[in-house]
Amino acid sequence: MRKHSGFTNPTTSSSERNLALRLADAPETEEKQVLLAIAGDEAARSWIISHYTSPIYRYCHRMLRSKEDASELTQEVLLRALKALHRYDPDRAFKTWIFSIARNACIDFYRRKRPQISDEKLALQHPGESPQAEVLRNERSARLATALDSLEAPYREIIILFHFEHLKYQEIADCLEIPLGTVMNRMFRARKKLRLAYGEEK
Amino acid sequence: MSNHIPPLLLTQFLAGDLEEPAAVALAKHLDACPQCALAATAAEPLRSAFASTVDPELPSGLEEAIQAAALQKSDSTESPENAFASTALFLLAAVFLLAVIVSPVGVVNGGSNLLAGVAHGSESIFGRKGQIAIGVLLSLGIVWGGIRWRRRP
Repeated sequence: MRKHSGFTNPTTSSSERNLALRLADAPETEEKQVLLAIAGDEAARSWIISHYTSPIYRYCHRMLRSKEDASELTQEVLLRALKALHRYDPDRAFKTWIFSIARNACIDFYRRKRPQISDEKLALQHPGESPQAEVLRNERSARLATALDSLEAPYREIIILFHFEHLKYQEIADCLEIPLGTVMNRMFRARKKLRLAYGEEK
Repeated sequence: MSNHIPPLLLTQFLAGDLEEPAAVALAKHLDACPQCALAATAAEPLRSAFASTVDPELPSGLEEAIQAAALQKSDSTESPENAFASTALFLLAAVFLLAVIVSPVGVVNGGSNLLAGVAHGSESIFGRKGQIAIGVLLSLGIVWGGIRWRRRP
């Protein structure tokens, strides 16, 4: 049974009334689930976990290149997101919002767990030792993963968000909180570096 | 942009050969036009490599573990009401502390009646030492609240 907060209560605040209005208009999509989750619906909160565990895990795994670290961080990201749902702006794409949480969590993780290794050093670790390579099954895929591993974190991140998680350019700008022009410059450099690294792997 | 992106321009875009304003305009168009986005994917030099990528396998039991942890934590979730209450407390603490700080130098006489009232009222109840102790505790609370506030979700 679904647990709702009182949308019909006459004493509800204007933000709750706005939420109720949006909910009434929302199609049966992710938006509706997110609005229900904000209202305290346990089933909708569970839906968010089911829907986002996999993409967040993929992102964390590609960023951190460790199965254990990615598992730990995925849990942290989803719990953080659920706790902060009341701060989510429904005008913003939920996917963008949750990926920005994942990104911040990855940055915090680097600082917290690996203070002795700089992000740059992490990016320069020998690609052949990457745990990611272990899970990639065919040669071309493994070669791309190796090339991706050789990129510095900002370039790797932008490639992952666009090519693997299929965020739009503007969504990446929102997620990284940088202008679209900066996204494009970084994307161009990232693509050039990736092609170069991929070519060298051949 | 009402038309679709010509192939040559798309190639230049993917190669990173365009100036920023043109690249931004094309990026906006690609975000809004599925047909051009598809063409861009097809023109991507590493498309076959991207297409062949195998996603990292989700560890078994991870989703269930998160579901269980979320259920356990749902009681401690910060509701909007709690957020409002903590903000209100934070502001009250700030007013009190300000009153305590400005009271000894007599600024309150020419300043806010509210601050003067808070300062004199709390001093008569708790005494000057008690007032300072409360002030220190509130300062720590404000610092703690500030740290929590700064923490990104």
